[in-house]
This record gives sequence, structure tokens and C-alpha cells, in this order.
Amino acid sequence: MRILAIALPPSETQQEILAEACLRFSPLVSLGAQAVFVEIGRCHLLYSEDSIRARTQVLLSRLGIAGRIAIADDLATAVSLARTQKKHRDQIPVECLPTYLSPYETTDLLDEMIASLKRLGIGELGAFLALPRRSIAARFGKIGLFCRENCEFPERVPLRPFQAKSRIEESERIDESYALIELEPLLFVLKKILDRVSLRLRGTGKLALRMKLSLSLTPHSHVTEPRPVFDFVFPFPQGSTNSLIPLFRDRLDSLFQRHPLESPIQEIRIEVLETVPSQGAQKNFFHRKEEELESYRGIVARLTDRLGYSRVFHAETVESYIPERGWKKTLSPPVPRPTPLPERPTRILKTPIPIHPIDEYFQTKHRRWKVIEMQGPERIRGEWWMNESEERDYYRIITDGGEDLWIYENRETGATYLQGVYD
Amino acid sequence: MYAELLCKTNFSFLEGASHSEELVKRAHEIGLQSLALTDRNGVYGLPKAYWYAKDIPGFHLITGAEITMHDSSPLTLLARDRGGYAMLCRLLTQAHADKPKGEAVLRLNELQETLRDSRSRGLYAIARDGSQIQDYSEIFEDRLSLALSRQLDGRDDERLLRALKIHRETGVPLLASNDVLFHEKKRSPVQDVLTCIKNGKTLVNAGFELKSNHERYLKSELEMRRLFHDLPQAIERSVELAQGCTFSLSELKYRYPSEWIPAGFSAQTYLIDLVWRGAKSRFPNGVPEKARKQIEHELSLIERLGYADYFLTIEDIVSFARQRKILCQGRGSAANSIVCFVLGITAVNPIQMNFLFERFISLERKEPPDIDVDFEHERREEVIQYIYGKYGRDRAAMVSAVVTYQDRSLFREVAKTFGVEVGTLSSRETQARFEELSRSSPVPEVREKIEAITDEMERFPRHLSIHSGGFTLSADPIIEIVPVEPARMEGRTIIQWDKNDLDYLGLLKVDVLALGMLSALNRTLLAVGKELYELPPEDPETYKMISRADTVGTFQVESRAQMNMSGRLRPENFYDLVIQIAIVRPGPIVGKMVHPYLKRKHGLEKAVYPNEILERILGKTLGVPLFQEQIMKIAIELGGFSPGEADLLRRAIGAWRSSGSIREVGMKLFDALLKNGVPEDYAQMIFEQMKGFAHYGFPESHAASFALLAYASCYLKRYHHAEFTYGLLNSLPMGFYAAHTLIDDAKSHGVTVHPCDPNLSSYETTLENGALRLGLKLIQGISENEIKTLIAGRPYHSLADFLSRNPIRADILERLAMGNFFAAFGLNERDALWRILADAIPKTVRAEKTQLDLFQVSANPGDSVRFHSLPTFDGITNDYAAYHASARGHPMVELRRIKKIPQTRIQEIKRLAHNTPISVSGLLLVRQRPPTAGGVTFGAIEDETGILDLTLFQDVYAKYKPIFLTNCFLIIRGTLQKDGDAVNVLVRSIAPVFSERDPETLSISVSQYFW
Repeated sequence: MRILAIALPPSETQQEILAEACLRFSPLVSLGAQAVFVEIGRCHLLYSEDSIRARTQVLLSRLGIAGRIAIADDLATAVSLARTQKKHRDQIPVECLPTYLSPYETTDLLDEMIASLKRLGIGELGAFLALPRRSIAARFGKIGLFCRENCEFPERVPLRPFQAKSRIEESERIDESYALIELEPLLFVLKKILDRVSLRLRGTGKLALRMKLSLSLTPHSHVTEPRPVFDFVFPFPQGSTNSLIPLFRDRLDSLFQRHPLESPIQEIRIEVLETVPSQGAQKNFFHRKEEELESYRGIVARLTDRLGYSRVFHAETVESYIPERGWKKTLSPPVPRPTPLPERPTRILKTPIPIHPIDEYFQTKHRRWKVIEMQGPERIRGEWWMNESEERDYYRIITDGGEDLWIYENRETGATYLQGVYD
Repeated sequence: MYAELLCKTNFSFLEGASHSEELVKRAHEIGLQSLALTDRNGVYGLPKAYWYAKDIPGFHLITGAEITMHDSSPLTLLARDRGGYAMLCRLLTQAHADKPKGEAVLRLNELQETLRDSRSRGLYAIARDGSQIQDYSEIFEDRLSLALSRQLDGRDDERLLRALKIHRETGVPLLASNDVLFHEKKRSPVQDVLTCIKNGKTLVNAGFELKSNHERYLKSELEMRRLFHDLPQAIERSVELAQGCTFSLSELKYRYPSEWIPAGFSAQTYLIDLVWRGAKSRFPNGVPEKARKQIEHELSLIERLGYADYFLTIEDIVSFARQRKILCQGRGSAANSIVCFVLGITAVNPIQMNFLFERFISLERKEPPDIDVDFEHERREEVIQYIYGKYGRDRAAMVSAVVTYQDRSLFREVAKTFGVEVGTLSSRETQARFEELSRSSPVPEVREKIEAITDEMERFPRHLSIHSGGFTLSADPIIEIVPVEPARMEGRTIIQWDKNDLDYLGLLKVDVLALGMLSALNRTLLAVGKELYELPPEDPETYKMISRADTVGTFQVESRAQMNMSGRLRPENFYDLVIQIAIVRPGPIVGKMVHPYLKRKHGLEKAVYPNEILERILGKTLGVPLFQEQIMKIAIELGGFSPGEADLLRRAIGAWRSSGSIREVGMKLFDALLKNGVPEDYAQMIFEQMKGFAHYGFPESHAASFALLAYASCYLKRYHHAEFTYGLLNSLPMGFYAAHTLIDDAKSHGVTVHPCDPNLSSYETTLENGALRLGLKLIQGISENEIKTLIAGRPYHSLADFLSRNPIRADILERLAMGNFFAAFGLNERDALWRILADAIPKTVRAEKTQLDLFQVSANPGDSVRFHSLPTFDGITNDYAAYHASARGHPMVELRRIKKIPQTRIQEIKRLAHNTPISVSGLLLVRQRPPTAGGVTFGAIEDETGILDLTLFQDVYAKYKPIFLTNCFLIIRGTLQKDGDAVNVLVRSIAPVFSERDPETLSISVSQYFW
């Protein structure tokens, strides 16, 4: 075995991409602890070791990765030489011993042993190997012994092959004779594809946040767009066909009405572009709640698709005494919380209307109310830390017309405003 | 009329937002004639309020507290009379007893049980709601009220309906209150910030945890009548309760414990008897006339003021200590008293020193004397237990100290509430990086707002801690005078008042202080077979040693600043030493007294006195007022002040920085000086120097008391260095320097120091034929029990023998091995470590009672692996790791091998001329940035030959700060400065000895990282 090890800095996140890129050199690539290993023993027919080293260096530069390279007969020695840039195995510092325990995981099991070795003046692998094996076992236990064994016979540690992760993608070819160009038959086929996608999502414990639908149309001469692509972004993650189909239907229906397909579909492909882990709970077939939740999410997804995100929301209370700041938009149904506030109006005006008190009346330009009953004041101060110095005295008034209104007086300016209505 | 009966001060921590004085003042301003302060679970703020309120004619301060009740709303109690107050204190004590700090709570059955006492009729109770109201009704009957407040938060109607329902069902009358949290509306933001600090929130996300408005301020009668226009009876109820509360804190008549005064004597006559007996002992050749007159004068004053019991109490404690051979000495202004001198409380003869008695007690002073006594720090607990044993825990309690918010930490706390993300940054770092951090806050003009809040929160109490050694004693149960609560220190309880509160109320405090040097001196004296009073006074060699700044380990004159002064002042007699101790203080430094004095001492300048009186008062300090008493004497003899007025002047000076009250009194003195013919510029100089005392300065008597101990320590160091170091090492922690510096200093004076040895070392460092044997207690991490076992298992013949009989933790054994502890068995450090590692696994198996793993074979004790000895530097480093000291040598000796290290040693540097450019290297001992130094930083480095002072101006410090703060071994380049015998280096540049980029230093050792 000849191993080329690339030691990566601790902050490096492109380890898997690098591993995929190294597949061009050898089918045997492995991921280690902050390292990538490539078995190059059989590459000598194509490249020399120097050539592989140089090509790897170029690859690292193209990917912008600050890695260090070394080649040795085993994983641990290769990566230790790469990390420390030493020339010979005997010179490897004892701090690299955990790599000999396992090149695939970091471990602190040897920390005490390493500290003791350093205090004893044993700083390198060569000096460590010179200690009698029995004395290692007696002082550092079986973990020390295993480490020692692996140092003597490091080639015993096998290479764990790297498998690139696959994306969820399903497609279906359509028979030409079928001449699929209308929405309904398309949805029929889509349902089958979505069923498979849904199964794969469920199987891997995921939900989709984004999907791409690609259609390959028959390339007739008049066709201007032979490969239409449709992006679906879901406000809530989706996983079941029942919730996905209505979304696809709504979108495609409105699109096809404006732009019908130019020719029959030859292939339909669905790719899941973005996923999130699902809650992992087993589907409870006896409980409707999960189905209700899926239905709710489906409806919200359809409404947002149709009306736009800014116009579909719940109102959730916010802990603020300032009435106009007492709520915020949210997509999820809010959890009811107790509040120390007294009863608030059902409707709060976006912009308070100035009103003028005259005796037992209040009036605006166009209206006048006679006050029959008044409760208050409830005094609310501004958020002084945001430079709001005003104080407001709120009153609830019942008018002769039976209206139940919420007004306030600005204590600084004396101005009075109508701000809310109780239903 | 209206009386506010529910009001919290800032002693309801993180809830109330005003000082008690502010509340009293505001109440008076708005026309309220009565105010009750009712803090949560305590009467903390009452003495301060009482002291303020007593000067407001007709103002009625009512004493009360709010008690947290178990499973119910809080209950507020008001003291109607002395008996009711006693019950209140008992209940508060009970609420705190056996609870974690800050979690006081009282159960209903405890309330019922305690209030079976008939004195409970002296309490009014105010409930918040209906919970347990039937039970309260049974206890308090018609003395119970139901509080109702109108907070304008939209729930007033709801509260009113509930209260009316309870009132109808139970007949408990309603009481109007605003449930006050601050004295005026504009203090409301502070209350918001306190709420955020309490709940760990920011202002932006605190939500409903903040109040919806600013209404919880102290309201006037008119405002309250408007609010309660429909319930005038609730307002009248407040007046009724206020009129029923006649108790005042001035009723706390203090009685000393006195059952131990012999029959046939009163306190005064017994004191007189003891004093004259003591005088005969102090003056075996007859009491001098001046002393006799002074004794009579002091005894007369003591009788008039009724302080005889207090003196007897202190004398009793000191006698106990002397019987037990615990070294002790009074300090502070008590040393002005000849009564204290003859009773053996203090050690300095005030007649000889011409001290001013009125600095200690005067008729005008209106506060009791304060006698502080230092005891050996290791034996102070015996004295404390004696006090508890003699008086009982119900009559003796420790005084609290109010810890207030400090500027920097307060800034950080407040900044967090404004959303500034301070993370784990320290207070200093928060301020240094504030501009950058403030961007994380959503609040506009955040710095201004934070500063406005912190200004208002200045001196806000944060929590109570123990006033170290301060006791209050009483003939009556202390828990009926002031509530007692647990301190953070286990086994200790504290009263809810601090020493200032005791002064306000005329309660006496005894300070039982700990002084490490007394322990060290006692050990040294025992070793040399002498008593303190047998040491020859005024030994010239001792003063020469002090002048050379050879004072490491001594008392008061060992710090970097004092060493520097030693070389400049060059004391030649006891009074010079008194001055030296007093002059290195912020007061004289800020008052610019130091240089004039030094110039005159060395004849570079002549002292000028406008008249004889000033010459007499200031002559002994060469015309420079160095002591508060001198200002007092000037005020008395030239300013026409009475002694008591002069003492008020002294206090005004001391309070200058916080109250600005000096102006009036100071101008009176200034005018008086001019009237008596003192030239204006001289009077101005006196005034400016007096202002310096606003920063801390020593009373002369205090400096003299300390000078006695300083002289004794210097004498013993001069003539008995080994015994002196033995005393110091066994009294650590104390003093300015660590063990390694004391040891190196001893070695540099020819003392042989033997390392720790398994067969020869005792628990403490011992003397071995004039040499020192380091003690086992220096071993880091080892327990006392392990040391006992080690000593008991001797003799040890081998390492294996030692290991088999000492179950010491593996990490400590390893540290000992690397500290060459087992050299006696013929093993170097690494060989010993190798053996110990083999011992660890079987021990683990035995300890855990598990089966020996097949892989864990026992080591062959004779296995042939051998290791090289540690390099010397590593050996010394490991010694420091094991013992925080090394008998092998100073680390600088080894480091001189490094090429870049300057080879000149500190001893040689000190002989060079003034202004010589120098390079020197050493171990950094000290870094200091005194606030009085105008941004200058001081330091000290040490090598194998001595210690050298460093001075860094601001630009140098700023440039080299990271190196200076993070490295132990430094290379210093600068210019040598000499002033008399004082030597220091004006630093130009600093470089670290160890550098990752320097392969030579890396090759020395990896153990550099230890430093």
C-alpha cells in the first residue's frame, strides 16, 4: 500500500469535495480526521509519486485549500509526516500517537500518556518505539499497548472507502405515442414520480424545502423552449405526495393557462434541491393530528404561492406595552401565552385618528361621538431607551351609539387619538 | 395628611432604585411627614435613613420590613414600639436562618409561634391580598390592613374589586399605598435596568417584566388623594397607622455585656483599677506627671461618654490573647490613647510621641471609639471562638460590609441590559473595546444612556459581605436589636448593618483583625528565644539595611514603592520609619508632600515656619503636614477650633471626595490662618496639602504602631535571617512576595536552603542547624491528611516503599517526582516518574476493585529503562510546579546560556551611574498601575542577585503591553535612574526571553510554557 495523505487545517470544510476530486487519481479514497487519504499504490502505471504529489498540490490550489501532503506506506505515518513536515518516521512527535490509534477519529485517550512521555524526555516516535513493550502496558494500560502495536504494524489499519452522497432525483420517460401535453395526464405521471421521491425522503428521514421540475419536450422545430424548468420553494418542508400534488397542480395550471406546452413531454425529472431533517417520529396511523398538520401546511403553501409571502401570516403577541408593537407576523400558529395586560381592542388602527374632546363629546372632521361611559386611565410609557419619551393615558369609552372605543391622550402634547375598536 | 407605608430602598436588591436618604429627603420635599421604609427581608437601609431624618424637624421615619412568606404573598410589618421592633428583628432573623443567601422565607407556623410573645402587639401588619388573611387576622386582629395601590396599569379596577371583596368578607380595612420603588419619576429607568439585571434580560426583550409606566414613585398627599378620591378611608388608615408607630431607632439603648465585672466594681471603677495597675507596669520607675495627667483626662472623658465597658471588653479580649501567647497589637487612632497603652491594647507610648487623644475620642464627635486590634492571622479564629464562647451567638455577631457596585463592573452590567454583547469580556476589556461592542446594541446613543444610568447607580448596594473581624456585642440578645443572617462563609452570621450604621446608632464594634506579619514575628521570636519588647531599639545596622532597600519579606517597607522610598528617604531612626510608612500613601502623594519632605530631610531645602506654633506642630515633619493630626492641631491652635471641631474637619477631609463638604470647614481654617498672621501663600499650601488627605492617609498613631512591627521585622531579618525566613514561609500566604522570592532572598544572604525530602521534611519549613529545610505543605495540591500519613510512615527506604504506604494522587506523585522529591532514593526526576507510572495502574485497580485486565501486566521494578536527568531549567521549572519555589537555584542562572540574554546581573546594574543605558533580563515579579501615578506603570524583575524596579511611561506601556502582560521572563532595555540609594530603570523597550520564532529558546525547554 502507498498512501498519499493530505492534512487539512482544523477549519477546513471542503473535505468531502476534495475527496470527490481525488477520485480522479484513484478509486480508493478515504476521509480521515482532518485529512484525506488516497491509495496510490496502483497508480504507478499512470503517474509517478512526484507527479501525483504535484497534481494534488495544484488541486488544492484550485480549491483554495491550505493542505499539506506526504506519502508513506500507511495512513497514520503519511498523515503525521504531512502534518509535521518531518522527513522520517522516527522523527514524528509523540503528539501524533493518537493518529496511530485511529487515523479516522480524533481522540484524547492518549493525552495523559503523551504528557508523561514528554516529561520523561521521550518526544519522538523513534524513542517511544525503543521502550520495552511490556513497560508500556504496565504504565499506560491497554490503550497504550494498542497504540504501540499500531505504531509497529501501522499497515494493519485498513482504508475505509469514501462514498459520495447522492442527491434525490427521480425521472420518468414518456412513451411518444402517449403525446402527453395536458395538465391532468401530466399530474398522473407526476404523482408516480412524487410517490417515489416521497418514499426516498421518508426513508432518509428528510423533508423537501425546494424542488425542481424539469420537462424535456419533443424537439419540434417550432419549440422555443424545449426544456422548461420549474422551481418550487415551500414555506414549510413537505414530504408527502398528498401535499405536493396540489402545489404542483396550482402552479402548473396557472402557468399552462398563460403558456401552454409547445410539444408533448418526453421526460419528466424531479430533483430535490434542498432538504431538512424530518422530526423522525413514526407516522401514527391512528392519529389524525399529523395529517391535519400536513393539510394545514399544504394550504398555507398554496396561499403563499398564490398571494405572496407578505400577505399570509398569523398574528402572534409580542411582549410590548406599546399597542402598535404588541403583535408580529408569523407563519406558525402562535402558542397562547398569559399576559398581564388588560383586555385589548379587537382592532387596532394602523394610524391613530386625531380626535378633539369637547365637553362630553369627541369629534373628528367627519364624526362626533357622545361619551356615555369612560374607564381609565391606563398609563403607558414609551420605551425610553429608544428615545420615546411620551406617555399615553388610554381610556375605554362607550358612546351613545353603542360603540366601544379605545382612545389615548398624549400627556406631553395633550393631543387625543382614537386607536382601537372593541367588537 | 398621608403616610406612605410601603416603600423599598435600593437595599431591596435589584428592586428598589433609590437610596434611603433620597427617599427621606424627597418625602420631606413633597410634604409627607411620615414615611415607612420596608425593604425585602431586612432593615438594611434604616440607620442611614434615621441619620438623615433626625435633622428634619417633625419628620417621622417608621421602621418596617416586608417578609417573604412561604406559599403566600409577602407580608409587611411595621414596628409600633420597641417590643414590636424586637419581634420584627426576630422574625427577620428566622426568615433568613438556615436558608441559602438571598432566599429568606418565613412559614406561617413560624410567624404564629414567634408572635405568641406579648410584644407582638407592637406590630402592624399589611397584607397584599387574601392569601392567609384569616390567619393574619387571628394574629394581628385590628392591627392588620390590606394594601391597595392604583398603579394606572389597566388593572386597578380588578385589584379594587378583589380588595373590596376581601374587605367585605373579613372586615380588614383597606390601606392606600403607592408601593414605592423609587423616590422620583426620573429614577424609573434605573428600576428598569435593575429588573433586567435581575432577570438576565435586555431592555429590548424584557417585555412585560418591566413596568408599563413610571408610577411607582413617592407621591404627595394631593396625588394620592386624587387617586383614592373614592376611598378616603384608605388614606386615613395610613395616617392612623403612622400615628400608632412611635418607635424610633434612637430607642436602641445599648448595653454592654458586663456580667463578668467583679463584684463591688462598676465598669468605670474596674477600668480605673486596671488602668493604674497597667500604668505601674508600663512605667516601672513611676508614672510621669504628663502621663498621669493624660490618664486622668482620658478616664474622665470615658466616664462622661459612658465607654468604660467598651474598653474593658477590648482589654478582656487582648488579655485572652496574651494568655494564649497570641501576638496582638492595637492599631489606628486607638494608639493615640494612653489608656489603651497602659492596658496593653496598643504598643506605642502616645505621650512620648505627642499624639492627639481627640483624634480617638472627643465630646463633639458623637460617635463611639473604634479600636482595631491585629492578631496573628493563623490564630485569629481562636479569638473569634473565644468571643462567641464568652458572649454566646445570640449576643455576639459579625458586622456586615456593604459591597457597592464598582464603576467598571457596573458599566459592564448596565451595558448588557442595553444589548451590548459583552460575552465573557472583563469589565476593563468591555470599556476598552466599547466603541466596537456598542454596534451590537439596537439602542441609539447607547454610551450616553449607559453612563447616565451608572451615574445614578453610584454607591448602590450590591450585596452584603462580612466586615472582616468586625464584631458587635450586646448584653441583650442581638437579634432583638438588628436581624442576623447567614454570611457566605460557612458557620458565620452577620448583622444587617455595617460599621457606619453602628456609628449612627451608637452601637459599638470590636475589630478583631488578622495580620500575617504577627504570625511570622511570633514564630521567629520563638525560634530565636526572644520577646518582642526585648529587641534592641534604634539599631543603626537595621536602618542601614532598610536604606539599602534590602527589605524583602519585612512589614510595610517591602513593596516596590516602599523600597524605592527607602533608598531616597534613608531612615535613621524610629520616627523616620514612621514617616516612611505614612508617606507612601495616596494622600501625601496627591498632596505633593513627598518631594518637599525629602529635600528638607537631605538638607537641599530649608523648612520655613511663619510662627512658633507651626514650627512646633510641623517641626518633626520638617514643615510638611504628613498626618491628619497635624492638620487638626493647626486647626485647634491656630484656627480656634475645639478639638471636636478639629476632628470634624478631619472627617470632612476624609469625606471630601464623596460629599464635597470640605469647602465650608476648610475655608474657616484658611481664614483663621490668615487672621493669625500666616502668609497667604503658606496658608494656601497648607490647604492644598490638606486636600491630599481626601485620598487615603495614615493617622500618625497608626503609622507609629505599624512602624514598631516594621522595625521588629527588619531587625530580625538583619540578625536572624534564617529564622525570619522560617517564620515567613510558615505564615504564607501573606506579604508582598511569593515563597520563591523569600527563599532566593534568604539564599542571597547566605542562608542554606534544603529541598523537601520524604524522610527529613516536616509539615512546615524547619530550621536545621541554621539552615532551612523546606516543608511538605509547600507541595502543591497535597492535603493535610496525606502529609500526616507521609510523616507517620517514616522512615522510607526506597521509592517502592514510599509508594506502598502513601496513597497520594497520581498527579501529585508525578509532580513530586519531577520536583526531585525522590532524589533521596537515588533516582533522578524521570527515573522516579517512570517508576511511579507503573505504580498508578495497580492502584487504580485496587481503588476501583476491578479485575486486573489481561493487558495490565505488572511492571518489573527492576526494568532497565533509564532516563537522562532533567536539564537544570526544566528542573527548576518543575520545582516551581511542585513547590512554587526551588532550592536548586534561580531560573535566570540557566537562561543566561541563551545568547540574546544580557549577561549583566542586577547586582552589578545597581552599581552603575545614574543615566547609564542598560540591558538586563529577569523574572517579572510585580506589575502595578497605581491610580495616583498619572498613567505610569511600575514593575520589578528579579534575577539570582536581586530585584530591580522598572518604570514605564504610558507610551512605552502601550507599545509593549502585550509582552509585558503575558510573559514572565523579560529582556529590558532602558536608562538607569538613581535617587539616593533608590535605583530603578526607565524602560525604553521590552522583549520576551521565550519566543516561538526563536529556535534557541525553544531548545532550552518546552517547559517555558509553564511560566
